[in-house]
Parts: sequence; C-alpha cells; structure tokens
Amino acid sequence: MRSPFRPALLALLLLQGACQSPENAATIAIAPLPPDNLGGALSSDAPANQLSPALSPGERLEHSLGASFFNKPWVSAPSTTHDRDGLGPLFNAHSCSACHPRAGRGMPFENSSTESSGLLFRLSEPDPVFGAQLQTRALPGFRAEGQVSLQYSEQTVSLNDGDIIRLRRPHYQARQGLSPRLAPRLVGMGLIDAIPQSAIAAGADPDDRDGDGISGRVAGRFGWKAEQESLKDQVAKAFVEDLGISTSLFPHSPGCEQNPLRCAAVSGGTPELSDSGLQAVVDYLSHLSVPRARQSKTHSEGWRLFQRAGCAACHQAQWQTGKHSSPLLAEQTIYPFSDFLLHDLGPALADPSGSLAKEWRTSPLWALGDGPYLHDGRARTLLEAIFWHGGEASRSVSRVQQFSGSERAALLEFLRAL
Amino acid sequence: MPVLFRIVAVLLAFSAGLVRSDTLNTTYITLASAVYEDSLISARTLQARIDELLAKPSPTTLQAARDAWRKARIPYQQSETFRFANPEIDDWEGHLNAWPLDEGLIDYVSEDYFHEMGNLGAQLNIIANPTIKLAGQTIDASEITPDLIRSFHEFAGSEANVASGYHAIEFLLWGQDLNGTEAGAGERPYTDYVTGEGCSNGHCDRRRQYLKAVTQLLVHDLEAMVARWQEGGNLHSRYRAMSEQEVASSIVFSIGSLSLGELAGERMKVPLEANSTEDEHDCFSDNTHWSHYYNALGMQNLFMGQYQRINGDRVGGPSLAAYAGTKAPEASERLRQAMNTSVEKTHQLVEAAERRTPAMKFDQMIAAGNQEGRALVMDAIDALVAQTSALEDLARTLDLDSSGAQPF
Repeated sequence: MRSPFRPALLALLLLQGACQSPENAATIAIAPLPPDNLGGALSSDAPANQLSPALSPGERLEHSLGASFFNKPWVSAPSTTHDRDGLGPLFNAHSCSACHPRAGRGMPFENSSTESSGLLFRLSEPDPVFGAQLQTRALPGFRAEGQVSLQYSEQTVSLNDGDIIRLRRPHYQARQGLSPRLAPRLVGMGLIDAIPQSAIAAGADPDDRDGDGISGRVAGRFGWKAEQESLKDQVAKAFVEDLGISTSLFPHSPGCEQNPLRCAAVSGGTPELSDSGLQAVVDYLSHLSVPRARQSKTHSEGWRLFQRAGCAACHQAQWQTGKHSSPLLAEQTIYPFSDFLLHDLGPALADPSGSLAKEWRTSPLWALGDGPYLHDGRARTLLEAIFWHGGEASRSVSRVQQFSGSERAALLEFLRAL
Repeated sequence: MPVLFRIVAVLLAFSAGLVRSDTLNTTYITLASAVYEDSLISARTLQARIDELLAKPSPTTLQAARDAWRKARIPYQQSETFRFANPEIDDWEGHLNAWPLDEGLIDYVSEDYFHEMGNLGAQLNIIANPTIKLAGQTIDASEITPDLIRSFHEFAGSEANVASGYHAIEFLLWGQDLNGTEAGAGERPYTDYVTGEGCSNGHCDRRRQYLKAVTQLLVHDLEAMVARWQEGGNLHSRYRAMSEQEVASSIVFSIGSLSLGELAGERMKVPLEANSTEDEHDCFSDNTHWSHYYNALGMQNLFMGQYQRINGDRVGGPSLAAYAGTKAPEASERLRQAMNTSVEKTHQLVEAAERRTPAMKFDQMIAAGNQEGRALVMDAIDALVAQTSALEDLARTLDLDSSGAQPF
C-alpha cells in the first residue's frame, strides 16, 4: 500500500532502538494517583453538559441566557426573535450545540460537508476570497463557499505482541490547503481559562534545552492550534467564524472585507451578540460540571503506565487555577492532562501547509468520553489516537507499542476512566 | 385563590376513592396516556377547523381555527412535564413544539424584510418557491406534502429550520407579530387562504397546501405518541416495568428540568433579560401566558397524580405527593406548597394578559422599563426556582437518583 504514513511508521520503528529500555523508563518518578474530582469544586456526578450541582437552583437560573445562546439555534435577521437573529450570511452551523452536542465533541461527516457535522475547515493560508475558514452553509440568496468530500484509506500498525491496529487516514477532496478541525469537547473550559498564563509559559521549552526530545511552545491555550488566549476570545471567534454572529471582539461577518455583498445582508444588530450575551455564554460554559474520574485498580495501574510511557510529559496532569470571581473556579487543583503548549506531532497528523502545520496543542484528557478522537476525528479508538502521534511523541508511542496486551488494556482503562 | 381552592378540594375528594392496587407506575401511565390523547383529540379538532377555513375562508372560519389552536395548546402544554425524563419524547418534541423557527423559511415575512433584502427575500420561503435552493442543495417543492415538510425539518442541520409543529401552524394562522412590545398579535388576513383573485400576499394555493399538510403531520405525530403509551407501546411497557422508586426519580428529573431550565430559564428569564420582544413560546398568537400556566399546572398534576381531561373527566391515582408524604412529610409538604405557588404565580400572568383594561400580554410584560410586567414575570420565575429547590430537597430526603435533575 502506498501511503504517506509509511515514512512516519519507519521513523517510529527506528526510534524503538534508540529509546530507553523499560528498566530506565521505570525509574521515572511516579506521581500519586490523581483524585476523582479532576475539576476541583466543579466535579460532580452530573454529565458534562449540565451546570455544576454545586450551584443552587437560583444560581443555575442565572446561566439561562448563556445556555440559551449556546444551545438554541440562531436564525436569519430580521425575525420575531430579535436577540437570536443575525445568523450568517455565511456560516458552518446554526448553533454552538449543533457541533458540540451536549457540550461534547462533534462527529465528522460520513461523505461530504453537505451533511451536518462537527467538522469544519480552516484555510492553511488566509485567502483573499474565502478568508480563514471555509463556510459550507449560507442563507438563501447567498452561496456557500464550497463543499468537501471525505474518504478514508486504511493502514495497519503491528504491535510488539502481534496485535494489529487498523488506522484510517482521511482524504479530502476540495481545494488545496484545507485543514480539518473537529469540534472538541467543552470540559472545564472556565478552569483552563483560570490557569495563570505565567504557569503555562513556565513549562515551555521551545529549543528543548533540557534535551528530553520534547519542546513545547507557548501560544494561546484554546483551539487545536492554541490560537486563542482566553475562553472569551475562543467563544467570540467561534461565533463569528462558525455562525456568522458578530461581537464587539469580531465586528464583521467572515469574508466581509473581501466581499462587501456579505456585509449588506440584513444584520441582527451591531453587534449581533452583545458583550453581556457573550459573557453569558462564557460564564455558562465555565460552570458546567466536570464528570468524576472512575477509579479502580486497573485505573491506577494505567496511571503508572501512562507516566512510564512518558505521556505525562505533555499531557501534564495537575494544575492550579489562579484568582477568579467565581469561587468554583478560583484556586482549584485540577487535572486536565495538558500542558497547553504546542508540540510537533510529526507528518502523519500535519496540516497540508502552514507554518504551524505539524504543531498541535496538547489536548486535555479529562472526561475523554467516546471517540472519534484527534483534530479531524480520524481515530475511532483511543489506541488509534495514540498511534497517530508522531514527532515529539514518537518515543512514547514506541513504548506503548512494546507494552503487553494487559498493560495496553490498563493504559486504555485509565484514559477511559478519566 | 378560589380557583386553587376548588382544584385542591376536588383533588382531595378524588384521592379518597383510589383503588389501592394502583401504583405510581399506573398513575404515570394513566396521566401520560390521557394528556397525549387529549392533545390528539384537540389537534383533530384543529384539523377540522382548518379544513373549514380552507373550504370557506372568512374572518369567522379563521377565528374558529385560531380558537381551536389555542385549545389544542391546553393539553399539549400540560404534557410537557413528561418530556425530559423520556428521550423518545424529547426527540419527538422537536417536530411538534420546536422553537425558535425561521419563519421566513415557510412564508412571507414583513414588507420591511423584502425592502431590506432586495430581491433576495423572494428566494426565501417554501410557499413562494416551488424550487428551493439552500446550502448548495436544490429541492423540488412543487407539491407541498407532509413528506416535503418533514424533509425540511432541521434541514441543513439547523434546528431553526422548523417547518412543522404547533408554531409553524401558529405562524400560518396569525402571521408575524409586528407590534414588538406593544399590544397586538399577528394579523394575518383570512384572504391569505382565498383562491383566485381575492388571494392576498400571493401563492395562496401553496399556502393552503402547506397549512393542510403541516396539520396532517401534527395529527400524525401525536398518534405516534399516543400509541407509545397504550398497552404494548414502549413507554407503557417501560413504566410498567420500573420500580416505584425509579418512577419517582423520573418524575423528579422531569419536573426539575421543565421547572428551572426550560420554563423559568429558557421561556421566561431569557426573554426578560434580553428584553427580546417575543423570545419565548407562542409568539405569533400572544398565547404565551396560557402556555406557561399550563406548563406549571402539568407539573403539579404529575406530582399530585391527577389530571382533568379536556372533556372535564378527572383521572389519576397514587401520587408522588402521597408516596413522598409518608416517607418525608415535611419536604413533601414544602414542595406541595411551592407547586401551588407556581401555579398561582403563572396564573397571575394569565390574569394580567386576559384582563379587560388594559390587558398586558407576555411580550408587553418583558418590555424594558415595564416594572409591573417585570415583577409579574419575576414572581413566576422565583416561584419556579423555589419549587426546584423544594424538589431537590425532597429528592435528597427520599434518596432519589436526582443526578439528572439539573436544569439544562
């Protein structure tokens, strides 16, 4: 099978020889098992799409507006519902929850972007006509910017104990330079937002001075490429790019400068989502429950293996949030399992072009849930997701490759139980 | 509150005559069956009035259809208390009661709209366009059938592309309410359904097709839900098989979700805070006060194990109130009182909206600066919040699994 994956796999196999022996790896200091309340005071038995039960009914009611703006569809202007009009004219979805169902991750479409899904496309290089993102839907009277079709080809990885994993590689048929992005889960967004920037920056090692093979560059902390520094920026960016809803942070519909006709579409107000409306969505997302981890003997064994494989070097378990006006977010010990830095994950996962093509922000692992995983949903299982990692993660991947079947099972149980 | 006294009195009289072999399970099934049957019966009456409107359009037949629509909302809004505990109902509900809807997808909207949009506006609505182009797809809409309307439901992935249900019919009977926070509802003329020369706003034949087909769909959807609650239906079977404790949890979850997240939050707090003229339920007809009241009444019905059918019959059985009353008398009594207050406070919305001079509809209540209106709505919201707190206290006392009893 001719596949661009081959070189990466080869590199991976070569690395096996160079990597530390299991005895050396075992000398990594093993940290104590994280508690089950990964989200501090926000952790509860409630699912991740519900407000924290630590809030009283009256406090939860205060998040109604944010919940409504997140969950309910936006409509074209003008409509009888003034506060939720202004959709488009070009957009990817009608509501946040269309791509983040129950605040969870989206699904890639089956065959083509004409289907509703949680997958959209960024342009690797901002384009004079299309802007930074391909809007695949439009109001009547406007033309969507285009559609993308999707097919997968299969390839295999052999594990040390003889098991074989099948990986599916996506192939997109569209104009050049499109970078797929799957809508991620929205777990503990407010807690991540409350981590002091200086703490994140302290973990950076862009030139790998400590020589551990892992660099880590500081950017923002939200988004697949850590483009956005704050949750508010991220939400506002998603409103304007994905729904065509303007805010004071992003006052123009996408592609408006390039194509004035788009700005001539009926506006749902200036801006279409007010500052208080934007803040309401941020506050709502910030107070959703973080599901508890499910602890067991296998789980703690998995935690040991997770560290032994070196996963924790980037998927850094523990953080401390800083000051925050909400007591549920302030000064909490949390376990998102990310360093919020950019890392080179190798050519197999890379975008087709762009200066950051190979770099990805470490994805948090708390409340990981069911797949599909990775930035385009190519990984159907956690094991597939692990084996798509390359670049700085190659050494860890090869360690997992050498695990026994029961060790792999324990590792996966740990991840699933988070 | 004379009305409430009467309800409570009748209720006490009724509960004295219960057959003891009944359980929370049978009550749940009895109430759900009755309220969905009533929804179906009243939807069929609505269908008959709409047939008469189409046979002979006149101010009288239009008014009769509108009255039938309002009556059809009475049992349906009481049914919503069953929605949140049952994914089958919650998923199905989108076909019947989804909101908000992009009304421009269905029919013409205000002249200002056309004016602002230029000739783009002409490409919008299904009624005006035998061929619809949307999101890169072309759809043959030359004949407006129930299937065509269903195919538009959540078309192109939008829940706002609501082509069917009570609110689509409401829009077709009333038209847009262009009065903002001032008095007045939608004012669609009966001539929108006149064939030939008297037709107003164009495309009357297609509008007639739409109204007929969308009403068929409503009846069809309600038939399917009634079947689920009949002997052999899946919801009937499920509630037969549950333990009473599980039924109690289901009731708590369901009432909690409707009470706080949906009714107090989505349907009252959001429009109030956003001062959005009609960011709530029955926005074309100004029937919202009734919808809120019947939501509250439906929650009380479920707790008290009773329901008065549209023909006046009373049905019911052993209630959560009685079940909880023996195990947690104080918490149960607090909830009973909180639910009485919710019914009372939502009824005050009705009283303000229906009084002779000057009536104040929900869309006027939420206008910026309307202190009386704001107080009325806030009182109803506060009552529902208190009801939710009492419900959660009861759930804790009874050790019910209320982890799902969250608002959103």
